[in-house]
Amino acid sequence: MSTELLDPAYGRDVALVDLVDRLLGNGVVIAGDVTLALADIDLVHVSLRALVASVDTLVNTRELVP
Amino acid sequence: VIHLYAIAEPGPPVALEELRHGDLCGIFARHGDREPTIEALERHERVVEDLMAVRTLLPARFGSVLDGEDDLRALLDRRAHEFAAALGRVRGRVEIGVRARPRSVPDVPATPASGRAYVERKLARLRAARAVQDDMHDPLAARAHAAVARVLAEPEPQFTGAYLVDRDTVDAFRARVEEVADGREVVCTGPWPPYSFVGDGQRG
Repeated sequence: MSTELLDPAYGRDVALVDLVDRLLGNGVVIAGDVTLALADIDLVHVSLRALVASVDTLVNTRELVP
Repeated sequence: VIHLYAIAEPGPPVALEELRHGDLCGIFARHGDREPTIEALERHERVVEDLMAVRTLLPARFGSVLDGEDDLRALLDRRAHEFAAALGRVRGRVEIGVRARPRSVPDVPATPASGRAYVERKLARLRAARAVQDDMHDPLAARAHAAVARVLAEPEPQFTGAYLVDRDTVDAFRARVEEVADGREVVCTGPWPPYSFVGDGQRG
């Protein structure tokens, strides 16, 4: 069972973007929640994309498939 | 202030503080990060995953801050039915993330010269991502208790789905992802706490 990743950075990239998506864009929302508006999340993604290229030690906690 | 990490069913003790109200617990810490740096998000996630190992829970969005325990008790009271129903749905289950890219992306210049060209480029990229969703989402949703999907045109066309699956069927689900990807580049992430399935107000 293996899908070849054409771009090895893709898996790492996805894990990080998934993390941001979930923690900032999903989860139980309470009235006092003021950290980041939904509209800002795309901006965070864009800056992450730039950042991830230079940081490759951050997502080892996340298990990846293949 | 207190930082809310999760709404949970009662269960074994955890490393954080908790407040029980009826059949619901709010799990919180008195100190925490508010700035959403990557390090802070990863710290937060590790805490929630440790909680998830021993408790049925609904993860709170990062940065969920309450004035104090009275506010937490009021929250648990006000939304008791919503939380209880959502906890029932996620019990014994985890969330798997799936992202897949089209086999090829329409070759349209990245810096279009006109508004019309910009829209056409965006539509072509969305169509490519939508085609991936059309092939992959339904067969995966059929293996899940709940599912959400969306397509993105930028920064690259892709399909992204989240699936709520039984904890003990994660490996079989991942194998199914490989099948339906049918050679496309695909990545599964997780198992995650059920961020995408917390009930009312969820995105997707």
